[in-house]
Amino acid sequence: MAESESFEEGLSTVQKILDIALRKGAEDVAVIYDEEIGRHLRFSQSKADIVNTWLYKKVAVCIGKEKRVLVVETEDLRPENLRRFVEESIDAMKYLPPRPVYAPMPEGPFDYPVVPSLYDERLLTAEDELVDAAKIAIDSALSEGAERVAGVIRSRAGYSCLATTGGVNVCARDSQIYLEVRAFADEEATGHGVTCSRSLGGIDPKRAGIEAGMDAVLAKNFTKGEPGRYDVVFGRSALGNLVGIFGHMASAMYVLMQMSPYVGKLNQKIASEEITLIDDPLKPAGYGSRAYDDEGLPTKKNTIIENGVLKTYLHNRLTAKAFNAESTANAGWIIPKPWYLILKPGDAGEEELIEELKDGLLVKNATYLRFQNYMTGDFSAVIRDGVFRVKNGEIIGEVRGLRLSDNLLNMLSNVYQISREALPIFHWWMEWEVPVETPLIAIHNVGFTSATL
Amino acid sequence: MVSEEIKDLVEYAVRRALGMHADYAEARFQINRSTRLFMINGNIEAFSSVSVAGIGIRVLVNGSMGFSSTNDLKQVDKAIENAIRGAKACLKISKKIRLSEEKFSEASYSSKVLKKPEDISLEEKIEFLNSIDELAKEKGITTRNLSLKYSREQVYYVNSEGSRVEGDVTRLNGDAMLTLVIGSESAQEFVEKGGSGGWELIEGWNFLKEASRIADVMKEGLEKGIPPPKGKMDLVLGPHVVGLMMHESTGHPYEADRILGREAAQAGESFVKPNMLGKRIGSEVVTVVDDPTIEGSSGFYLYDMEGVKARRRILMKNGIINEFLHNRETAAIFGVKSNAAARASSYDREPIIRMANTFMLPGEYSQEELMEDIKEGVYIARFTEWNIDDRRYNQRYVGSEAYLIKNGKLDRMVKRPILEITTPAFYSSIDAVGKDLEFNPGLCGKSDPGQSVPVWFGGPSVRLRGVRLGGI
Repeated sequence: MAESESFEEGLSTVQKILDIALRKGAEDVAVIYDEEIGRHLRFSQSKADIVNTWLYKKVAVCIGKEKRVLVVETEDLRPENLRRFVEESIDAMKYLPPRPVYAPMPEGPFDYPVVPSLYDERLLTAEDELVDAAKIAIDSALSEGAERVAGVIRSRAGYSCLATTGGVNVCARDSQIYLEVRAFADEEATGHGVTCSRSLGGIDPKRAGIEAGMDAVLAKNFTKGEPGRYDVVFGRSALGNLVGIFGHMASAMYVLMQMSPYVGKLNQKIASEEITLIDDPLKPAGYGSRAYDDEGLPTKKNTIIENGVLKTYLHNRLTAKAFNAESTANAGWIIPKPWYLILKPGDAGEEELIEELKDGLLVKNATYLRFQNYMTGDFSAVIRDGVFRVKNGEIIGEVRGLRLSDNLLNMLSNVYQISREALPIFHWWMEWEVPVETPLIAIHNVGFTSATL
Repeated sequence: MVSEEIKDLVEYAVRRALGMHADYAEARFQINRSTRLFMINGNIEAFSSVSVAGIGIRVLVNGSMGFSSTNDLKQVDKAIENAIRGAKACLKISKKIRLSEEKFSEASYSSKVLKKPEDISLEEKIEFLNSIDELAKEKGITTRNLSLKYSREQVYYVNSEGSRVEGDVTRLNGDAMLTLVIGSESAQEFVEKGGSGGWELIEGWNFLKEASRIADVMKEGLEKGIPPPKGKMDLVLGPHVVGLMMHESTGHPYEADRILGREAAQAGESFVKPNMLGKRIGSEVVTVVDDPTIEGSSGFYLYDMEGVKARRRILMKNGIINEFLHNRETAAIFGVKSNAAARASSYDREPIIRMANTFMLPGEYSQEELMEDIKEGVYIARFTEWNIDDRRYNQRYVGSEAYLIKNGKLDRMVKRPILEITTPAFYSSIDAVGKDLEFNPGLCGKSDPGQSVPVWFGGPSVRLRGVRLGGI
């Protein structure tokens, strides 16, 4: 249970499984034990729907044997079942063909960076505080003129341990809390606000509620949007989704699978010079920060795109071998993944970005993004929660019925201005589940379509 | 079978919650096991095995709802306490929830499994993937990402109103993501087959035949496809497209929790309102149903996760909005009985309103008859990119396999035609429905925390009169 004062259960579990796997002939093993308590309040129509509380203990194991790789995950931690689950899985490995590309677990032990402020023990027990924060967000949105408010507040706190055959034996505590609020000023006039942090005191439910409420009220004045191409300033909720995809597409596994527009583009210019995208798991209090990856390597700051040039793919030990590269400490045993994406801020004020729009759009949120073809990067997305027409630097009202329809690489190349303040964002529609820290960005000539019947 | 020891624990959880002054309590032990083989270009990239098991407890206290779960069965008391405490904590802002009155019984059900997937050797499973890979490679497909997954979900559910349900469903799924690169152009297609049952399902899939046909179509599209026409015309949509549309533009907007705003912060609400029951939204030839009781389907179940007996739901009847999807909470608000749409993806998730197998009932037309009087139009057989807005009103489907129709006959392939249309316009423009009903499997995602549940999308071909193909 996550309230326990030590890592005793985690350490003994990972060691026990490591021993079982080695006795069965495994050569490379990594074992992760996770223990946490999660709390979650859902609300809609400005009232609570349900409070969820979760107590978890989970084990995940990656096993390498004779160039074969197996991943097992289980929540059935009864000792006899754990043993049987791991042993039977290893027995089955002999029927697998060996992989053409194989690499052992990274050889440690390692010195890990200290990433401060990733854990707040108050999130082990906070319950009334979550209800209070939800109420503040709801009341703040209503006080701005919203008719009704929906959202969630969710916290988790606990620890995880990792042991590998590379001599790694490490545990770390972490916690997270986020609040997402969506306000309605009428049937279709909506606004969205998000706040997330590693600590209970780090969220700002009032700000999230006010932003959602203000945008919802502003969106009441609307016209039907005309399809075409516009210069666009994207808000953070939209960018949480877009920047997450810009970063995730650098995973070497997606490149191998030809599921990325970055295939064959390493060291090539893929974006405007304004764009520098970093994966920084070492950022103090970063919502996605962590000190080691799932193979036990110390994490590091990786610059994915530097001044528009694609500098690296993100690797684990196996994709690194396939690309004849070094691991970037982004394991994911099967799929390497970014930890905490930060889009480097520019020097413009947020108001300046809008003031300089002669005739364009301010798009606050982009959801339901789907690719036509991952290699080309053609996609469309549903835009909502404030799609404002801007003329001569002033918001003149919302436009409705438009759909963002463009190409990922075109959009990256057409970025012309970035604001100076990057803020963390994490919400439900960030389907790649990578937290992002982003300023606002302005992009020329973005495509929009609409239903014609 | 869930062990007697576990069943006793589930019964105990309900009794204990009532003893702690819950007005209503339910407990569910659920175990979801799955095994997956993942192959890239003929090499097994990953073999994974997942076992998720534990107990979930849901309570009502003075109209306030709490849910708690644990996978450590020694902590069941703690979980019960958490559920009660959670419900009490949100009393000051709670909705005063009521549940519909239902008849409950003791029941059990399971999917029909002739050949247990776990009894089939790993070699045979790998051979299945190899055969697809080799064929696709021969056809020139540049990258083949293939996956085979078998899973089993076992549930023991008890509530404080007399329900005791045991369910056991095995499922099998295979999919292929194919990429073809010719020169500077590329095409991608996703092929998926699946249902509930055992290894015997493989024979009915005709996966090789389907993959072979699609590989040929991808090549033809890249080499010979022409830009699609734009503007107003007649369209024929194939079962692959229609099935998804049934899910997205009838199934989701008819979910009563969306109609009442419970999903507003995530996937959104619905353009359908309670007072639209009985109103016409489509042409008379359109009837759309959702049916969890179809044996062999991905969305198969006979009792939902509130213990209510499942039945076919007729969502749209001859173009008229007929019925919404309900759980006990929304049924009480609407003054009706639940139609058993409550599902939970695993033990640690509250049961929420979900579709099962959503499809349009077939009509009488052959594909040839649907096209015979179209002078110039487009037939969209398969889709790639799609999305729909958060009210389920404005939707877009991009064709991956599509052809011109000229003088009633299929003509050249067209590249990526874009249908962007509102839901009422879509259903109103259908004037003929084919008899070629087909189902495709999929995972439907919903809610926070996210829950993915297996479903079938089903549709026959349909003919649309005077709609617009668009794009920039």
